Amino acid sequence: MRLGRAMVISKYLLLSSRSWVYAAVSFTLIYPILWLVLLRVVGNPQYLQYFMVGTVVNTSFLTPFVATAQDMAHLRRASTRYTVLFSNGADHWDIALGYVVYMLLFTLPSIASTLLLLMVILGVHYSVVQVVVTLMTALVIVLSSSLLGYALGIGVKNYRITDQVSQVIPWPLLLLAPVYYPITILPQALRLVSLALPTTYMALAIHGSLVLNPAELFRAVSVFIIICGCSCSLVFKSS
Amino acid sequence: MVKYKDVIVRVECLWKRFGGVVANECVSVEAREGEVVSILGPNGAGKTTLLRQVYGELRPDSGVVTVMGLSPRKAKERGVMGVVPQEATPFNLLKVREHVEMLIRLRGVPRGAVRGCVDEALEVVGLGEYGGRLIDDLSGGMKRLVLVASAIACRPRLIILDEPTVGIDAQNRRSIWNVIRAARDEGSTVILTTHYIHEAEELSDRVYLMNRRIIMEGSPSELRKVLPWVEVRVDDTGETFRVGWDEAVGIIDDLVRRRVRFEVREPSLEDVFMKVFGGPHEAG
Repeated sequence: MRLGRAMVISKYLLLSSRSWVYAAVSFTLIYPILWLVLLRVVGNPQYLQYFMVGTVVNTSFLTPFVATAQDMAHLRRASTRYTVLFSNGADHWDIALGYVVYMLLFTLPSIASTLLLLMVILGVHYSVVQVVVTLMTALVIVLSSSLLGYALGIGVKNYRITDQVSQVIPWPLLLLAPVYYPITILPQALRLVSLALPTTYMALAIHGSLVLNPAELFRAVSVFIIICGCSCSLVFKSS
Repeated sequence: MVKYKDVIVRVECLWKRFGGVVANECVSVEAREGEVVSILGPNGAGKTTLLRQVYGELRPDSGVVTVMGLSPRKAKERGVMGVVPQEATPFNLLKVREHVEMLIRLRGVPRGAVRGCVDEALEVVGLGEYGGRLIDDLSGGMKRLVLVASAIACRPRLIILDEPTVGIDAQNRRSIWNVIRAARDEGSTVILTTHYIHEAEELSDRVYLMNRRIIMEGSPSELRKVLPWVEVRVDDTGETFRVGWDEAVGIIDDLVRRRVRFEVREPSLEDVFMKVFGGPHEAG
């Protein structure tokens, strides 16, 4: 693997996404803000913090996972564009890393903008340190989610299955884990289920970052390192 | 004996199976510097599988593939290969120039040389005016030319073209032929697969006929000699004779004396192909 090749891939993937930039902005920026504004209008400040955590987790997990899985499945299985890259110099890790960087370039500015706009719209105050730590945590979430998506995208031969599975998987992960609400409102049985879901730790990590709780952040990130390791080994096996 | 550095691609007794299906059966192929080598065979003969092992996308079950004395992976890392895979489609939402740039930068061409290489490659394939256009806006044949331009840019030592002219018109096909000849003249080795036998005959220095294993090998003229006949077609009656040269001399002499219009045709590579692989029902 050469970092230079990964950067080349991410640069040109970014250029090739110019035609759907408006859709991208809508999904990653306008919709989350719209939801938060509606939340403010409805008025339930108790859940504001959780909804913000959920919005950041949604952007840093859902988008990279689904986009990477579907794009890789199409690049590898539905077209031969993956082979065009591979045969002309890139290896599997170059392509995987290139795609992760592309996802980071796509999602991190969106998360930063969302946080900044939230402060303006909802009057929540976050320090620079809180924003930076949250972005660093989001980076780890994007990395692991994108690698998991890559493993799914190139591991499954039928790209139509990947298209569907990649859209189905995130919903139980987002709804059964305490992403948009506190874990205390979950029934006892579902609390146990949520402990097995990576999104629980993503939400804990983002929450720990936003409130600057090092213990919570450390615990969640430790689980993340394991998830990242599993993602990498899945990528290795798939390639 | 050929020195190793003259041999760009060496494939020795390569085996590849997919489940119970044998795709390559002890295939041995060699491509030397400045040669155009064609690999011909019916559908499902294992040509693409062989090429995918040469550019490192598949690992052989057994046997050895070397490119310039290196493993395909190492050779690819050094940027010696430009490849148009089978049924490849370009990144349609890039501009033509960006696509060529992307692939030559993946091959490790220094940033300073990129612009010149892109300009030259686009001129060679006749897309000089289209550099700023989105690939999505081009015709199917021109999209194919974008891939060819991306593969030949900066003259890699090895160019692999897996059915580069399939589904494109005669003019664009001629452009690709010219590109292949120019690449060979400048010392690149070209490995080509095609279903247009005439194309292989026009371009190749050496031809391999394969159907899972290599069946015949040689220059087009050597392969044509396998068929010991000439075809004499009498225009007036439409009669066609396939006879040996000795017999043909007598027939031609007789036709000349009778002042009958006729044509003489030597066997083509396509005749050899049909002889080796059989008619349409047998090929497959």
